[in-house]
Amino acid sequence: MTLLEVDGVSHWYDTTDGDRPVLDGVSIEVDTGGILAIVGESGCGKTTLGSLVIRENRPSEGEVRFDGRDIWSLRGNDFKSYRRAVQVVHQDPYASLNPGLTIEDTLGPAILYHGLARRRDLQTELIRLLQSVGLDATHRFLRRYPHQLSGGQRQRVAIARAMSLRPRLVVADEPTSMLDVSMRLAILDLLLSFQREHELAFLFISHDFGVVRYFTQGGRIAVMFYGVIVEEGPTEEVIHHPRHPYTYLLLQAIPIPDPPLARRRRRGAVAEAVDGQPAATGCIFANRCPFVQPECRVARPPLVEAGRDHRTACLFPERVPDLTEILEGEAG
Amino acid sequence: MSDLMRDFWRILRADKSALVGGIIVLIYLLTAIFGPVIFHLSNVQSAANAYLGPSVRHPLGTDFLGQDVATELILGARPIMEVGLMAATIITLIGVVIGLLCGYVGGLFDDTVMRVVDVALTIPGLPLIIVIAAIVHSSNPFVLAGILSVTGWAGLARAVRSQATSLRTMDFMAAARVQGLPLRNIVARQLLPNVGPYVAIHFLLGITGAIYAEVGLFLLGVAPISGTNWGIMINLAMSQGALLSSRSLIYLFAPMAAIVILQVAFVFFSRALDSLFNPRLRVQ
Amino acid sequence: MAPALVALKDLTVAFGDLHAVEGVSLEVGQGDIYAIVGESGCGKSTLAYSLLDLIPPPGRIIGGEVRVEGRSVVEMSRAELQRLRGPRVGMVFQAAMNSFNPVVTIGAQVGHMLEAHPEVFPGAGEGRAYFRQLLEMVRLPPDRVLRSFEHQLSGGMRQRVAIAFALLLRPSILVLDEPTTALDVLNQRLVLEALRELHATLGVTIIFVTHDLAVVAELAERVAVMYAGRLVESGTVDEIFARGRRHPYVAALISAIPSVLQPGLRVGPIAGQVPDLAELPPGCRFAPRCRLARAICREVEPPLIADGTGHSVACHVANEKAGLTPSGRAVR
Repeated sequence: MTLLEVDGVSHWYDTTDGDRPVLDGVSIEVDTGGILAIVGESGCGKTTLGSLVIRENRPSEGEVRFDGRDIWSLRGNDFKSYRRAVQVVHQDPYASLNPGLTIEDTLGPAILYHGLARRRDLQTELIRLLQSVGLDATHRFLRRYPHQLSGGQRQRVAIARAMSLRPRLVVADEPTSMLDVSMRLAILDLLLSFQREHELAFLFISHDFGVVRYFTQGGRIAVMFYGVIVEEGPTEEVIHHPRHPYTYLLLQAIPIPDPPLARRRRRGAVAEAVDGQPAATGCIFANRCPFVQPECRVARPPLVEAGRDHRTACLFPERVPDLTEILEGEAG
Repeated sequence: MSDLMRDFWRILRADKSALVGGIIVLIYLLTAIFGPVIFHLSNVQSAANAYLGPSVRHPLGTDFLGQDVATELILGARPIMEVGLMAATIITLIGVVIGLLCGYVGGLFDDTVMRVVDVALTIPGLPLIIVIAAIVHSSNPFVLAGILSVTGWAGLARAVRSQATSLRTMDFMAAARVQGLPLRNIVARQLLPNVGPYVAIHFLLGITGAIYAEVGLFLLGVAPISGTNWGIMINLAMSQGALLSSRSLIYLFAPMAAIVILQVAFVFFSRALDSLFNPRLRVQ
Repeated sequence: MAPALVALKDLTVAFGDLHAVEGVSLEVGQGDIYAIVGESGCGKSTLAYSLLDLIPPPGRIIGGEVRVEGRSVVEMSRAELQRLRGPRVGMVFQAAMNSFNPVVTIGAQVGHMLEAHPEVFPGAGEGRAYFRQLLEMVRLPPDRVLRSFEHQLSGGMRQRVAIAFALLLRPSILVLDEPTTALDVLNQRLVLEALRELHATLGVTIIFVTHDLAVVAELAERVAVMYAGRLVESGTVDEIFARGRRHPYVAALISAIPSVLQPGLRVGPIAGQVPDLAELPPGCRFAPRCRLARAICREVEPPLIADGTGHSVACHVANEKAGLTPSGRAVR
């Protein structure tokens, strides 16, 4: 069942220089309990997309629908339900908690406001919440301030906050990119445990394919380039059989934590990224594409099927090499 | 609450000047509250006792009516501090509420209200206060406090507004909105603690500013001379010839010293407030 | 055996009572590409700064020595340090790409730098020509870059320009603190390739600090791994990543990287968190999180023991398994 629909959304900020929108004709869908990852480099618009879904900005064009209804048309109790159902986990653990509030004052008010606990039961509920995210489930911890916690702990508090209202969709914007490597999997596992237990849907925004692959495990991935979705499909499919040159270049650029394999790849590098601005006419990737053809400059290619449930905005997807080719076969 | 007291005590112990300032303010407060109960101004007015020098009976000498200067000083504390406190409270309340709302809500509301603020900022404060005080000519403390606050709130509103504007974009504010928390909660519980240190210090310094302005009104005679307070003391001292005799200099300088010491104490004490209201500094 | 270009012996750096770096010894040879790896708080940046006596106060070196080209850095006078920094050792700080003067063109800033060190080039003309060469080596268009203001260049471009600046005065050593951390994967690749190119062409010795093991695998030749202020393993990059004798932290860190490579790669989080330097556990600092920890690990800090090829590991369990005992040999 479709939970979230982003329908033909384009967006300009007041400060964007003139012509190119931050988002251009973006349409995505997330089902109940489904996971969709948005992957792209910084500046590609993925964070803006997230902010539109949580209603922090209003799309210049197009609609964002939750449970079939335009989120900007909601009023009263419908709006309040939407606010319960869609939550966010931000990237920067040092900016996502109010430094002037204790943990209990950060977590408590919304629970009371939405009637999820009575005042006299609040402390118990908060303790339970801390436990569910693997933090010190004590009253003393609740009275702490964010500056007394480590980055990993703060992120867990942010997750507790998101989960406290029993949401149905969580927008996770680079939730692990500012954490130490040894922490990341633990946080992803935590999010996944909530996902499984509560049939929670996720819009997972990241620039890291490895993290995305670990998290989506059977979900879908959409690759964005300067506000345009250039490829979309099941995660394993897209990673192993990319059908857009940009996806391919991103995959090929990922550093491999295996020196012999990394050396082999460098010797056999197939194509290189080309420096260039996004093109104003034709395929937006044309100036950077190592496989570009004259036809690519004529008109913006639409997203078309290139495999089962796998779509690409490239006129020549068959020219894009597979990931296994990039690694030249044997992968240890 | 006891956490707060404990941290407060620790902060004061660490910063000696703040501690000294705090103690002095406390002394003044206690004097202002309990002084009139303990001390009374003698009604005996005799020209023979005018401008006596300091003695055991009159540690600071006497005024032009023969009354004890020290007693007048003590009695004169309360009116001054009362009005100063009220004026600062009014200024802070108005300034903070307007500043937070404008900064957070933005849009047309912000634009409109800020134009009013701009006007308030452009009007020269002290002359306006003098004129209004002269017209109204009341020594009712509430009225005085009101007059003193007529433009003082604008500067605070502007500063708080800019803080609110920058806070609005922070992730934790977005998270509060995403949780659906209503505006009153966001302004009161999310924004306010973050502007706390700034507001607290501004409040204290607002008291000092109000006291100066108030003393000025009495000194200039635009506020009616009834009862006694430091401002009246200075006014009478100047008009009744204290400048002419060296023995009466104490009568002239005593209220001034009282004011200055209080102001300095407030300023020193305000150093502790930043630590007190900022959790990062307060809680180790 | 050529004398080491940079030698640290038993270096201890303290910030008040805390030892950010404790008893670290390592040597960097001429022409090495040396990586210092660890997570936040492990002391790696402090270590890098100590090479130029740039440790920010209140940190100070309280033990051991730092020798650059045979001379002790701590004993140098201000004038000697001035001659060391820049012309002999170039440094690229973290977020160097944000440290440009925003109101002056890049070309003008080159001029400023040349003026400050007139002894390096006989004339400003030669200096500028050399800078253009450096820009070409890092694949940047010289004319465009020299005319630009910093905000007109992308993050990846600015980082490469920062590297060119660090090399302008022809140092024999280049030190970089987190050179790719703030960059996207494509820009990261460009910077890594630029560094490799510079190393190959100029023969400059490169020392870089990072938390990203994948970047280490792609660029480094020799590696030192730090944990909570201690050096726990050092050796060639192949030795560090090979499954042989290894420090458990290194092994765990490598398997905490979710990879894009092959399905079912054994990936798992590391339990617990990095210890607070004020409350270090007795014995081995990693013991509380280590699956292999034994009684001795919680009592005695493991010594760093080198094997025949100079691969050193500080772990009781790993060394015992390999039959290695502490000897009087110096660490290489």
